[in-house]
Amino acid sequence: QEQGARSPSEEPPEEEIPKEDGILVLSRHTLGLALREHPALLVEFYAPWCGHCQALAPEYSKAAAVLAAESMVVTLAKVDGPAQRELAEEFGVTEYPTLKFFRNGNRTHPEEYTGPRDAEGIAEWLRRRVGPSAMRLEDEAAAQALIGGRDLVVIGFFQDLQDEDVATFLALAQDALDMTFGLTDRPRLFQQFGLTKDTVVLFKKFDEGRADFPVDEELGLDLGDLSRFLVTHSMRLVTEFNSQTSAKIFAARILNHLLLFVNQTLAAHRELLAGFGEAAPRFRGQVLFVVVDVAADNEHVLQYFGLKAEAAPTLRLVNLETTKKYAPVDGGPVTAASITAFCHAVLNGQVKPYLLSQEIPPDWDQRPVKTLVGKNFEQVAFDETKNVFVKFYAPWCTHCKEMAPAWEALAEKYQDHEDIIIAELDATANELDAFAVHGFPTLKYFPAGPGRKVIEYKSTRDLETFSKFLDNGGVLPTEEPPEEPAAPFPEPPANSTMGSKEEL
Amino acid sequence: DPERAAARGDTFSALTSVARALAPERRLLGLLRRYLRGEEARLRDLTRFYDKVLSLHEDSTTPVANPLLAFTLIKRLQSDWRNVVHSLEASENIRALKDGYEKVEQDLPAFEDLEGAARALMRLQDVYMLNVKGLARGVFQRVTGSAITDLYSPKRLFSLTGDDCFQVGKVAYDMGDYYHAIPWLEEAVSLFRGSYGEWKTEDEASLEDALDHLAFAYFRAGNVSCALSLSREFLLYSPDNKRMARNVLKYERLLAESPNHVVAEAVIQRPNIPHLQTRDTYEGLCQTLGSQPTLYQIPSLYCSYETNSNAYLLLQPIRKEVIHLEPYIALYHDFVSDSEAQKIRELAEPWLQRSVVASGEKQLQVEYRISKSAWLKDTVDPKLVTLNHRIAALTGLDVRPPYAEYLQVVNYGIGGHYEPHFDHATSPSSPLYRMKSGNRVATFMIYLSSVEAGGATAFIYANLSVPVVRNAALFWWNLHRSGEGDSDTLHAGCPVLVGDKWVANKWIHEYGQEFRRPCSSSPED
Repeated sequence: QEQGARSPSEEPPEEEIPKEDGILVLSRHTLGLALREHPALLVEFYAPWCGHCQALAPEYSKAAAVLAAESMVVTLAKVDGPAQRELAEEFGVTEYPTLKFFRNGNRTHPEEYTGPRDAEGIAEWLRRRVGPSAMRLEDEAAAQALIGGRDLVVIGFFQDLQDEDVATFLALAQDALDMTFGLTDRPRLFQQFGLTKDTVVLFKKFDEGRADFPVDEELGLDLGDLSRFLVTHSMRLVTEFNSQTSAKIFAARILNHLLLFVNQTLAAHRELLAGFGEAAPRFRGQVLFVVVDVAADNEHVLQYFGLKAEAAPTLRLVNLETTKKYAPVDGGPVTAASITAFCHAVLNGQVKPYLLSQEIPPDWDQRPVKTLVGKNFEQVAFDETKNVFVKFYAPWCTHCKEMAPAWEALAEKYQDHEDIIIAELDATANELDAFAVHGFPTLKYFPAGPGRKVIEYKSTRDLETFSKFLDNGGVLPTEEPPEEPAAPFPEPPANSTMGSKEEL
Repeated sequence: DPERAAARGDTFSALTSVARALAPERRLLGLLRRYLRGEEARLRDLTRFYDKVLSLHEDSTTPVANPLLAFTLIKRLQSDWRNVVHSLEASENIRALKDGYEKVEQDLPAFEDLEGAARALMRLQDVYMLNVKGLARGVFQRVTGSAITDLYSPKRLFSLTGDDCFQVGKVAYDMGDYYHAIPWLEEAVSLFRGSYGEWKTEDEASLEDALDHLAFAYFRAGNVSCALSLSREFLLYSPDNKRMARNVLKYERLLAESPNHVVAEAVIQRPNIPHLQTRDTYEGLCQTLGSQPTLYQIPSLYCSYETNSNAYLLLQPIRKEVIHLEPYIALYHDFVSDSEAQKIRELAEPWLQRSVVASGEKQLQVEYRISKSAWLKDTVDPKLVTLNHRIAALTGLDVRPPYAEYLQVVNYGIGGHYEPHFDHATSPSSPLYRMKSGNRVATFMIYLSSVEAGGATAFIYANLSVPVVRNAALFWWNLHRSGEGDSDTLHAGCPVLVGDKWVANKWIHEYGQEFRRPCSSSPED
């Protein structure tokens, strides 16, 4: 009897998966079946009460219809997240809508959807994944047609299309929606384009017209390296800064940006662009050359660099990681040679970054609140004989203005304490070497004694609490914990400009 | 021209329209100057004739025996005097003036404008608790008990006349609003008393008119003794007015019958606007000179340079001031430059029309929104495209049509305001849904000018108000992440006390933002 037939009740019968508007409606019971039956499955996790999900629904259905009309082997599905809590937890869904792409029934590593929110964008993102992401090229006519079709065309030349490198190439092509991709293994095409080994070639309708990325014969093709290569070389040698180009400028993740400030309405300034462009090629990948037209809507950029429009033409180099800014030492003419020399000097650490500083006012220490600027900050704040409480403010900040009377009152209260200094510093006009100020008002306490200690004040900004803080030597009594222990403002994450994605 | 006539009644609702009304008055000044010169020439000629004839009479040695003098005397009496008295020149001058006026008349404000402007003054009086005596003297003072607060002190005081005050009082009187009518008519009476006997061509009313209206207003307010004393004063100036004499008898009889009327004087209540349930809070916030004074004490409210990790802003971070957390309200200083703000105002001005509100399924002009607005497509100027990119970069939202509305540029009028309202739709039948891109998820409001006083943006349930900061932009979320409306975003545009307020609104809708601001796990977020 041990060999007897299995009881039918031991295994529940497989359900038919319902559909709405061409979209599978999945539950925890049916997801497994859907994964087995549909090798390419895009699943939307939604909440019925979520307005954004309701807005997305018609686009999602339309994408399904578009792909079905094209007979693409891809299926769109949805899961009610709050009702299917186990599934939401399994896939770490914390926001709605969230879209995940499952391939070949792989339940443990779905791909996060990163494409656009409209029907055509969803369809194209999926086409790149289930259909060919690169066009097979058999002859020169096809290759030239592809190259002529768009500004940026990438062709992978691989002698063996079964090589792992080809898979890497195709994986990159899936997400680079702004470029067209071709693929060939034809020896005649290798010869036609002057190639003797596996190479990825970027064809572009500007600058050099073409950039080659040879595949390392020993290490093979690295996705990150290829991605950076394509981003770097899809940039023009010189880019004019505006809202259209800025995304590309910073997507290149080139840390050093050389800005040429010119007034494009003046012929004398326009003549400088040739020299600027002439110096650019040798720094490709290291320094990005950007033109900022002071006659366009770029007042904020000038402000950020502490410049007036009349300063043009002038150069500034900025490192996005450190946010340090560099200026040429001499006021010489802007030529290809001087630009090259300046870039080399900065990259070799021979130029010191400039820090904004106001001049020290003659009466900086005459009033209860001492006035600090970049030039006298170090000697006052880190004076080992003084406890210095500094307010870092922005003149345009209403919170700082409204706090000023309390700060004045505090300074008057401790005016007769020889070892206590109450000070303020305009952090928008004075940059400090010791640390960067990210929020206003920022209150920092520099206790007397060695070691250059800094204590951040994060409690309520009123006279009574300030006094307790000072009387206690820079600590608030424990019996009265701060009302708002959270940080007053978010610290920017390290390398925040880089983003978390390694790829395009 | 009915369309033009309709437009005439909205001069008061936008200061740019009020400013445009300066032009027809300049033309009227030209007409009057021409009339005055014509009249001066005519009067000089009449004076010449008078002097000539007088000199003949004063020369007693000249006998009528001279046949030449005798002839001219007879001629003057038969012909010259008739020509002088019946001269057509006077009527030609006045005819020219009237004809010129009729040509300008179509460009002059309508009576509805006078009403609107008067009601605007009363609105400012109410919201900012302004003292009417002070207003008549040209100062903007709040008087509460014995405390006097100067809300605004003009460099040059501009006083109102008795006729000016009478017109405001009469607008209130005609609406049956004696709460406002009495103080304005009191000022009119006081000013008319001081200048009694002086004749001003331009005045429409007189001391008697003011006394008449004020007496009746006091009567309707239940103050019979004041009504009586004012009516008696009226009879001092117009003893023959029988209607007023009968009123005096009636008031005397009323007082005789009910002596308690003297002490039972009811304090007249300010008219209550039924739809404005948050009036006291709203007006308190409008009176606050700037943000709530203790906001600066909260450590989680701060200023910073904001890039939103957006490439476009890395080289030009925008100055951000977090004003409130729930609902989230942020002020971005210097979001536009002076030239950008001026450009937007210039682009909008030719298209300004009276602002409307979405009420049920219709869009209506209402008393609780006084302004004119114009819609600007991105395509009208490259500056608007740049502006949209900057808004998109800062907010991370999609601001292309149809995901966001065109830029709405608003110019406020005299006492221009927008009483507490939501920016998002609160019912499915709202016309906001005609765009088919969902509800208004966020508001981006740019201040395109500064004002001298008033004009703040008040958030009623958040209990704060944001003063006008020129070139700054105010941002807040109208909807929770779930898509539900955030009722804590009830807000108002406070009446502009002094200044020319311009704002530009970019309303961003739900669609297009699904991956930019998704829903969280909880419907309450």
